Amino acid sequence: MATIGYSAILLTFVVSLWAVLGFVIAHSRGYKELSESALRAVQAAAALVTLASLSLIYLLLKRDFSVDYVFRYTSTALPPLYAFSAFWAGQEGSLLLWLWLLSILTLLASLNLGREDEAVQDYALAALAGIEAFFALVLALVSNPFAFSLRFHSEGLGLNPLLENFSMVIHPPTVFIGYAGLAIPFAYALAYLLAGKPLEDWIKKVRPWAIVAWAFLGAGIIIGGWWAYIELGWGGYWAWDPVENSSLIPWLTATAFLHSAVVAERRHYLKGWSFLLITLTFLLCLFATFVTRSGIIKSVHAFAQSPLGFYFVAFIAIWALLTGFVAFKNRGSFASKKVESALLSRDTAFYYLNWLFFGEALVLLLGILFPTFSSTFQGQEASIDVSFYHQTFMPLAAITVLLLGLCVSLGWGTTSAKALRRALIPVGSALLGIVVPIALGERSLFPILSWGTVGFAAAGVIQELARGVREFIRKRRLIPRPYGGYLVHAGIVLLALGVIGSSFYKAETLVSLKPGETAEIGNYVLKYVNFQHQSLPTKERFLAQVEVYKDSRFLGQIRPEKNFHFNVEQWVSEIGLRSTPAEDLYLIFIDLDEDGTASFQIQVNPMVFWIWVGGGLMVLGAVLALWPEGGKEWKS
Amino acid sequence: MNKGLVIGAIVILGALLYLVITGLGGSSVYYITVGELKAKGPAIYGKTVRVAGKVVENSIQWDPQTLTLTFEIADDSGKLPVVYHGPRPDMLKDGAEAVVEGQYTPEGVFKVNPKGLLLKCPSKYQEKNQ
Repeated sequence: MATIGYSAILLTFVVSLWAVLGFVIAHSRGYKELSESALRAVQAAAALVTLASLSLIYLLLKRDFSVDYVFRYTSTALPPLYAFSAFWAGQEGSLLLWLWLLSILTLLASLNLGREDEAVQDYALAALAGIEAFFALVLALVSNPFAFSLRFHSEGLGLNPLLENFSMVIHPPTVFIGYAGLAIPFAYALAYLLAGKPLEDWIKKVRPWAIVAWAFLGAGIIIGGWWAYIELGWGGYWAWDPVENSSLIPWLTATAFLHSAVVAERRHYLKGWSFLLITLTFLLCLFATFVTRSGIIKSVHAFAQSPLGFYFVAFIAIWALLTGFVAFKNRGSFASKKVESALLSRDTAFYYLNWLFFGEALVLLLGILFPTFSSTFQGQEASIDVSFYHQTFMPLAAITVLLLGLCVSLGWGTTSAKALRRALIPVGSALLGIVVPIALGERSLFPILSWGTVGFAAAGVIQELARGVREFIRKRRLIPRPYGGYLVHAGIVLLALGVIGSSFYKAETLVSLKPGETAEIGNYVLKYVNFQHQSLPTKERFLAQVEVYKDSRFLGQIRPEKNFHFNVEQWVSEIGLRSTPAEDLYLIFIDLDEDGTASFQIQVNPMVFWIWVGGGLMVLGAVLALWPEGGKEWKS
Repeated sequence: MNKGLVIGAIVILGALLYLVITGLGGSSVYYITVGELKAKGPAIYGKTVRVAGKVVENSIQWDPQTLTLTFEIADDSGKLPVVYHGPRPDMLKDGAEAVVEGQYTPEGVFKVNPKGLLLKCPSKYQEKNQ
């Protein structure tokens, strides 16, 4: 089976390369019949990669330890779901997953449901086949999931216990669908330029692709944060770790692209920006894959060093040069229509939005690369701590959220005095956001400014939604597309609320309790009843029973665990959590003494709940935004 | 494009550049070896640095009452006693690779900042593979 898988990967490389050559020759030399053959090669590549992936799944489920990858990430005791998810537990399988998803998406694109122009279609498929060829080459040469073990093993090492969590089953594929999906708008961007077609049509074509991929990437990031919160047991959801940041960067540039694309489609400028942003997004997706899977970056969850870096850097450089060259040769396509727009207009807001997202992405990228830079140029390795991101990323994010609250008051091109008066409501709400916390005793500057910002944005979002409802009543016709955007914005506001609550108002205490003793935090009283012990085949399991009381009312029991996993010979904690919209009670079981004394870290994390709700709302918004038509009728 | 817009963009970029530069100055922490740390003597007391090393066999002591963790880390240039106050991390064990961020004290003990203890799993996987 391993041989079949490996052969399929080799063949994928060959047919993908053939597809690239076939499409290019078909159009540059005029051998139209070659394009038919290249199209079959694209379909064959999808079939071959699927075969390779199914082989790996089969080997994993069968626990065939003669294959090194299966040996390293599974064991006989591992439940089938996690054996299946071990597919993407390591570098080799993750790259295969990337390729698999890309080949399926490429197959979807090749069906040409949009009745695309032949040249455009062929160039786009050529670009996608080129990306597939790269991944197949890497899998064949440096990162082979089908490599045999050098020794006989009767048992596998098993999955890292931290990855045995349902969110880790779905987080990597969700992110990878985002990455692979963002390759499609990029490929079509090149194709429209090469075929000399107007970029406005490109945007109409790729908008659904970009929105779906953007939503998947965003959902994947949120699920990753959820996993960190539930499984890593430090009470946070975002550690500004290079691996996390690297997935956020292409999401930011993709968000900028989606906004820029609106302007390009309706107002016929920012076309160059849109093209640049989607190119950067694609290259940054490659970079993120490389960061996560190569280990050049010092990170808690980066993988071991490998020669992968060379291949990725070279590939990113090739695409950057190629795209730059194509863009330069066809620079006429970026010509904008002359538009008159006042300084105070939605146009200005969108223009600055591009710079803001661009700046945010740049800051994160700098943070990731800084240790590498400093060891290269200063001879001494330095690292950056979280305060760097607080100082640079957060102000930019705050201004972005402010703009969100303003956009409903601004019109395209020019803003009428009447429209501008609408902005009085967000301003009032911002003042309220500042005054109320001060009245309640808040004295620090950053929380106060943050509440003001969110107050401003929240009022703007409510105005947007209210206007949508009024419009619906007036026209008696529902046009879902704009509501998508409103919902995404509402999601952002909720997410911001959650971030503010949990960053500024977190309470934390460390306690050591004998059975029957209690501890207090905020309004809560926690009573440590006792512990239970179970011996399981894979682990020794210790459960603490803790009763939770609030204002002397019994709320229930939570049971954090501390387990010794035999495969990694290590203790792994499972947190106890009681989540409510107002706040989470978060309990980490730190230590258990022989006499039954247990130590706990207890946290009260306010409003974390809204981060997940906000994330869900953004995905829902993306679904609505996919609704066809309607966009034209929406004028302000 | 409107001139006002471009000026605005330049102002934003300038402000960002300022934040980045001061941010890098304020929050970058250098990695140094145990040998370098000891050689610097009093000059390094109280300065935040990062030191990486392996947790020395049988050096881990944990006091659950005061939640104080003491252990030693070692690299090629020597051993360093470390003290940390906070929850005992699950991944801490003999031979684990540790990165500590904190300050060296005149007592010869490295005081780790809150949340300044980073651990990697010992390379059990690699050893078995070889």
